[in-house]
Amino acid sequence: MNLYAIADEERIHAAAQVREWTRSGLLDASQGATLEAELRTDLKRTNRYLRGALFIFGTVVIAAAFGFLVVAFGVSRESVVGWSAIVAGVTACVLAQLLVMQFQLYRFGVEEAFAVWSVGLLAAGAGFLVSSGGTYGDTPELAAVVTAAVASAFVYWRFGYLYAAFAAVACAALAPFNLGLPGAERILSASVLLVVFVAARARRRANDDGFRGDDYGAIESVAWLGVYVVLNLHLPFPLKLWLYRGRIDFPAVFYWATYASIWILPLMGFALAVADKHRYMLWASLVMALATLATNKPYLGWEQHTWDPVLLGVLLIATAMGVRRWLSRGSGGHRGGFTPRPLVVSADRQAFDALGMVAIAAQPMAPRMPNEAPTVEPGRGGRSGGGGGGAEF
Amino acid sequence: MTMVERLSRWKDEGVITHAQFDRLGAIVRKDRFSVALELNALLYLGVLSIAAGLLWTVRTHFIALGDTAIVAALTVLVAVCFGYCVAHAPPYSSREVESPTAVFDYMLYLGCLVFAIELAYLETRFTLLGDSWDAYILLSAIFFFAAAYRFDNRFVLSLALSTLGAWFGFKLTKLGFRSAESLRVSALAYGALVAGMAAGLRRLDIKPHFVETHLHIAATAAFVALASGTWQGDSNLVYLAGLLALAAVSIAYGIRHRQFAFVAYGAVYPYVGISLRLTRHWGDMATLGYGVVSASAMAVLMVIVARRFGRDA
Repeated sequence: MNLYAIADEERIHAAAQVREWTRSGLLDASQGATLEAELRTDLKRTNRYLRGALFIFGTVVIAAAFGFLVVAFGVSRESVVGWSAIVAGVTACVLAQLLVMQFQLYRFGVEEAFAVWSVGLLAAGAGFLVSSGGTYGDTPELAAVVTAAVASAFVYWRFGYLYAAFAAVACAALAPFNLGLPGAERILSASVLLVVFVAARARRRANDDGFRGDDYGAIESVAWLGVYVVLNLHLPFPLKLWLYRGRIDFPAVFYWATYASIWILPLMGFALAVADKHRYMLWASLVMALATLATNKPYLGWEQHTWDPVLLGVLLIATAMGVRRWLSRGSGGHRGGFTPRPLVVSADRQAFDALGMVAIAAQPMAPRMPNEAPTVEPGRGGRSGGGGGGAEF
Repeated sequence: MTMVERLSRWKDEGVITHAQFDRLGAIVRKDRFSVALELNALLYLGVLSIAAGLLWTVRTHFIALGDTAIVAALTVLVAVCFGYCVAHAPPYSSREVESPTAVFDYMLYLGCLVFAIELAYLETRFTLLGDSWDAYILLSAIFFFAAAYRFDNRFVLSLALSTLGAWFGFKLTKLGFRSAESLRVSALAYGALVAGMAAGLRRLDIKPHFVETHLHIAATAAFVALASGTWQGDSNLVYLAGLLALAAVSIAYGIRHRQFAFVAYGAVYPYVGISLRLTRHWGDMATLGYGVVSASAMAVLMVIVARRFGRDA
């Protein structure tokens, strides 16, 4: 069903590893060149920046073409907009497949834009169609989310885009929140995610040596993380707005069961990650553990203090240093194969280069202009002498 | 064929040595599993969390804690961090230097963040620099640049670049320039300065691995300023000419040095700027038709560039 031959994808996967090893000095340049030449395929590829630019232009083509047809034909009735979006979505998907089959494009940006927006158009079309049939409430959104889940899964199976698989998992998990079953929605959603987790885990274990194993491992980890997101009732980010629609007062049993789960899920995740040396699950577990530490006090109804982040930071640094020292003191500088030393330096270097660029935009504090500080009220503030009540630094 | 089978075949064919086979095989089979990235991520998040918590605490409780306690505590923390770095730092080198210890980079980053908090606190509470308050931002940026270069730290370099950008913005605002036009000029000046620093670094062969970071920041600032000026600015033809000239330079640089991010910048930003300028008085049909034709043409051009110059994945 996949558009690409397994042998070609295996070669591409292997070539990427050879490149990393060469950059890290594990292979010399001539060995790297020889092996990369052997692993060459006929698929047409490009680097990530041009791929991104091509995705942007492909997106503009799709959006402008659909908008042009809607405006040109004066489409305004909901049902006609819905059918137009569905036809456009199918067309975009067919075009994406034609680009791959005709020109053998592989992660080239243009065909990705067509495939990705076909999902968006089909989902929107399904929502409009259901809405035009006089069905209101959550049903149009349910139709859109279910269609998006199915279409994303199709795009993953056909093209192999991992982010499409993530989208399919996310949409499948959101569907229960549109069933009008307050109280059961989180349990249903978590159940859906658990099914995905079990299925992906089984497939990963069956393909552990192959390149597909990495994909299934990532899907398995995302599903596990999804279970956590659905069950943590105190996550402070915008997704909460969606999840809390139709919120009811949670029964005490359910509330405390979710509290137990936000501790159990990361611990189980760590156990699975260590047992299988499963990097994606390790990342998912770290994210869950951080979220648990951040939401523990709100769960218990305890007062939060301004120095809580300092304590969290100290805990993180102490944990990192402790684990590093413990692993280093094992025989040969590792324990059970786990080592704190980088093995493929270039992979870590790329991650830290990316982190360095992110750090430019995400500094923990921004310089403040003096006139931004609230004025000090007479008798309450002061530059010195112990005053300053009501003022803010 | 699995990767282990491939490695075995390459060893049998003599392409790789037995030692390489053993080492790479251990990685592929996960007999060795590095958690270096995860441990570094924890250290980075820990530093950010401590700095954010300190800032929050100082802002909220400075009355109860008192100036002396706050300044003393922050000074001690800064001294500990920099003392550690000075004690453990290897001699200066203009090339890339490996960190001497696992926490070295993070101690330096924490020291710089706490130094910024302390400086901002002192300036806000005591207005030591009077009307020249923005000088503390510039001084911070200079200090961060010095620390980044001396200790070879990319996180501190990021801090220095963003602080310098903030100084450019505040300087103009303080001088009474609050329009979008003046912000554009400020961004262009900032971009030119950072690009000039990159050129200087390359010419003097100082920390060549920092050049790319400077250029990405400079290009982004300049492209955003010129693209927005092309469709919003008063002298938009000047901006248009500048945008096209910068795009040409960026694409030529990107292809020559195989830095394809600059090719992407040179294609996407001018397209956005020119399209918004061209279509600002057009109707919906014409604009959408233009979008189909122009984006298709750009996609074809980019495919040609990608096939000719940028095949690497």
